[in-house]
Amino acid sequence: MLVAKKLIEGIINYSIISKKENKHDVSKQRHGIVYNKKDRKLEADQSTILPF
Amino acid sequence: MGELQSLVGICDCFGWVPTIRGSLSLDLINDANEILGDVDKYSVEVKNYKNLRSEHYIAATSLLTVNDSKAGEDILRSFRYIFVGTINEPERCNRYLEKYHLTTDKSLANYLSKQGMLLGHLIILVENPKKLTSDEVELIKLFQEITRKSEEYHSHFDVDAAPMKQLAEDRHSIIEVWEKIESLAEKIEKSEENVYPVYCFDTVLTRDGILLLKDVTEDKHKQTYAAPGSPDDYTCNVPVHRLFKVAMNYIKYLFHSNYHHNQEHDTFLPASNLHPAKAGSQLDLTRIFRHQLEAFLAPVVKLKRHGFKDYTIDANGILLYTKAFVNVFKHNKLIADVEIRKAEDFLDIQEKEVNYMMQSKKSLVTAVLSQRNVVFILTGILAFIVAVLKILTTFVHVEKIDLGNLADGDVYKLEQYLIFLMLLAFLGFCIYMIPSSLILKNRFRPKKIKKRWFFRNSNLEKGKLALAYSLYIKYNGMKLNVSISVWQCLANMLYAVILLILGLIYYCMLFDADWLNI
Repeated sequence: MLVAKKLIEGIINYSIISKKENKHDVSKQRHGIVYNKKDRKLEADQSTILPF
Repeated sequence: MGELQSLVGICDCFGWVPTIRGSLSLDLINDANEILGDVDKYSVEVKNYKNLRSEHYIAATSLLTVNDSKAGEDILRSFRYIFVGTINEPERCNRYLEKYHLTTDKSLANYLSKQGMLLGHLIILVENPKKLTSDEVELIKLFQEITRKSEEYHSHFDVDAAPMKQLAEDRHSIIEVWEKIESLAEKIEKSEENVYPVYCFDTVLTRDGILLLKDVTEDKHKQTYAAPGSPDDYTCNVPVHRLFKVAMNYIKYLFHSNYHHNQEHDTFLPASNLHPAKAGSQLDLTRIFRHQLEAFLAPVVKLKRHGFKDYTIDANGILLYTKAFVNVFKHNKLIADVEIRKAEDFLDIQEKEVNYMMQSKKSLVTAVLSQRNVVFILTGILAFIVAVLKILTTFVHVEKIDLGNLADGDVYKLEQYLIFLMLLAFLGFCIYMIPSSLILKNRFRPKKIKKRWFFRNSNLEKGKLALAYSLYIKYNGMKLNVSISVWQCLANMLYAVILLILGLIYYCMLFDADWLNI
């Protein structure tokens, strides 16, 4: 049951990520930072906020 | 311009920690679960009484892993935050004023004396999630110690009613640990062992929520966010705005809890770059005021355009915060009165519009809520059962049963009638609850953050981190020199064993295995 639950959550997460509108909607994006150790640069994290 | 002008003039970033009543509370700090972070969450506030003054010492730390979809081995997503600060502590206050050449500003000194202000230092370390340095392990142990001492102090104060002398000794010992944390944080900041960047900010937080950040990151680390040739020109550095926002958010959650929106939708409080405001001959915060105001109102406008269907925020709550924000600017004389009056007038109109547009939805929600009680529901179900039976008996012949003189066949009929009545009651309950639940979905309720221990959220690193880090910190003192990845493997094995046991129990319950019987 737990595996099924994680599978369903994963499918829902994937469907959210794959929708184009979510990629361009600022209110559904994170406003954080990540560090790119290859370029040695701080980058903005604008990944989509996932429901699960 | 008011008493804060010189202070605003030396800082790089302006923000506001929301407070409705114009006075931030220090209560939230003592609950580490409320602060931002995934693991190693510690936060402590201790008050020390000296003559007629109370000094506050605050310390907090946590490790935060940013959630994904930007993946890859080259991207580091974990950051350790370390914050230390004081309020009304004269030595550190004077040191701060001397550092920024503000000792001659009498109005600021007067403000500090009467209102008090949190002067602090925030360190953001890019973290290597696989291995902690010995200094970081030491820091976490100090935080564990200060948390334990703080809990003991509160127990002596609240439960034991201990004598004043003992309480003073307890407070003194907590402050000693706080000073060790402060020194160690400074050592971590300047350590040559740091492989990854360390970002540092001097912070100022006023009682009514004005948050000012001064970037004091070392030049070698500034290169990671500064455009080439412009490390001091903040108008050219886009990622630094995001860094300021992250720093601001961390401090915000030490003193603020979301009541009017869910945490993942907390995107509308910007960190305003102060450098354009300082570009002219005089400090001008008008654009910053408008920038912050528009950020507050953007979600309300969006909500309105969707017909108030998306209830992730509470529009009236947001408008209250916006009014409180205007008050802060008004009472600190940060912008001209004409701008304040204009903002207040338009906010009144906006509030009336929101109330007007939500009127019917709110009335319906209120009506449904008032009817959601046991008496009302039971009466409704009873009325439904009676109505259905009345209609049925009009068209269908139902044999009556003499309960005082039950024959053999009557018992079976009685069972059937009872089952039928229960089904009717269940149907009546569903008919009542489903539409009212759909209506109540339209009202805002803050989403509680699920604290799942075994299976955390979509980023599996965090799930393993929770247990593995705890074990790592605990047993690192025994000089086992075992890296976090080993503890992560052990944590995974532990999860697998627990799942196996649960699966076995479920299997035995299902198939009633005899070999379990003793």
